[in-house]
Amino acid sequence: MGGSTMGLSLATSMIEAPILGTSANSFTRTVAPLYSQNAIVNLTVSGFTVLPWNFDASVAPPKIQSIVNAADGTSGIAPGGLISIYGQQFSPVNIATSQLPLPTALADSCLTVNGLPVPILFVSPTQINAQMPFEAQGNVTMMLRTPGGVSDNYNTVVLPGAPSVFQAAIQGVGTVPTIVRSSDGEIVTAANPVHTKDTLTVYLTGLGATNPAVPTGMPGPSNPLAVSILAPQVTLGGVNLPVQYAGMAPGEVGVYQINVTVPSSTPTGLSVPLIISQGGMNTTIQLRVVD
Amino acid sequence: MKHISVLLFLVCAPAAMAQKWEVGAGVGGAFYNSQTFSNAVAGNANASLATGVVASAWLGNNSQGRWGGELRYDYENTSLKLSSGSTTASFAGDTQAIHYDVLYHFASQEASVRPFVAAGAGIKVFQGTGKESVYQPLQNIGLLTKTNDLTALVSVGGGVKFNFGSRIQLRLEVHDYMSPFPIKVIAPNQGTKTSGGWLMDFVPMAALGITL
Repeated sequence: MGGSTMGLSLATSMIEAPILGTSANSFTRTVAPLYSQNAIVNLTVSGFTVLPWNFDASVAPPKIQSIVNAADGTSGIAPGGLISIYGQQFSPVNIATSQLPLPTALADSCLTVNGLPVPILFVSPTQINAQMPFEAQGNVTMMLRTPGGVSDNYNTVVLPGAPSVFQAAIQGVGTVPTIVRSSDGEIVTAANPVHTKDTLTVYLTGLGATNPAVPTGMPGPSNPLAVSILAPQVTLGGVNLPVQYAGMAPGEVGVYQINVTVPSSTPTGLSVPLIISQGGMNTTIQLRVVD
Repeated sequence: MKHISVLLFLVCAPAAMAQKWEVGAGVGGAFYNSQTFSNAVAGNANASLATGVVASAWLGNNSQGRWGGELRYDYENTSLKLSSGSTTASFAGDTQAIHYDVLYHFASQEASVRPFVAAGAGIKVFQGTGKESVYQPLQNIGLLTKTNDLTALVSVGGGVKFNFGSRIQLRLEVHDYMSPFPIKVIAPNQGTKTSGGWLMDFVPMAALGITL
């Protein structure tokens, strides 16, 4: 860092609040124009961003309006789960990343929760998709930093487990939960119903901490698999489905999967409730089941 | 055990002595009526099974008089069908039925031409055998499904037997196999109402029978 500062013509220091939950001292943010007048370097607690020379400092600061889980848009959030943050003046551009581990700053936007940097998958003017750090638990405070400034604190609650099934949009069908039949790899729908004795894979987020622990921003490992510490319970039409695996989906960040088999005693029907429960939280999906 | 054997002999022997046994097989076509599936949001569709090929085999007994009976098995290679306007959804399927029919002949066993009528009952299994996919045309109205539906069967029909010699007979016949609509394999979706009534399966058939 010392070498890169050689080209800085003038640096302006500003004092920021200390990281929440720590006893650290205040952090000094530095905004420095390059000597070449090609860019402005903005050094913050979560890293540095390079702003264009004609960056307009009068851009409005971001406003966080809601935080939901990214799977089904409900309010339940768990450590390691994917989240969607909605608001205004987030980022002037839409950018998604497939970089691994996930970056903690994307398109000059930087999220923190209790001062911890939050891995980001996608930014846009009104939405950011990110992964809630595994370290976050209970009452947390989220802040967003952009070139426009720093958002107000947004307080929310992170639960130990908050299962939420991802939704997939299928042309002609609409939005359906991402539940895949293992034998053919196809999503189950009303036209492609669950059959008794099927083995299903439910893709979801919010199953929380795993064993072994997976670093925030990193994909789930395949060997050994990262098993959810808080085991979920799955029922279909009131019948308990044996869970063969519940944990992170290998190769995916913030995505979990539950593998279950459907007993022959499962009731059939056009709309049979599938309930996934974990740590007092549950989510319900209606599925068509046939023999 | 000895008592049961004696009882069976006493019951069966007179019947066996007085009857001629017959086996036969035939082929024909299956022609179904349809039901209307009505959905307030998605519209209406005709639900039915497609015209298909029927194979049938039976074991019959004819009494010395004009009465007879047949235990019969029918297999139909057909498909499940849902259509509305120019849109049609189709799904491979078949049916199997086992039923016992009582026959009344209008001529004696020695006659070369023997018109008959038949009526009986049994069971029929409708089976969807196609490959399911996440999307199916008209799925908001009805769902063609890979599963089985076991229903009751009522059979009525008639035909003519042409005797060639003392053992071989050609049969031309038509049956109406009536059953409740198989709503497990052709399932009305949420909010869809069916027009109700029984499913009619009209089966004209040509067959050969051999008297044992």
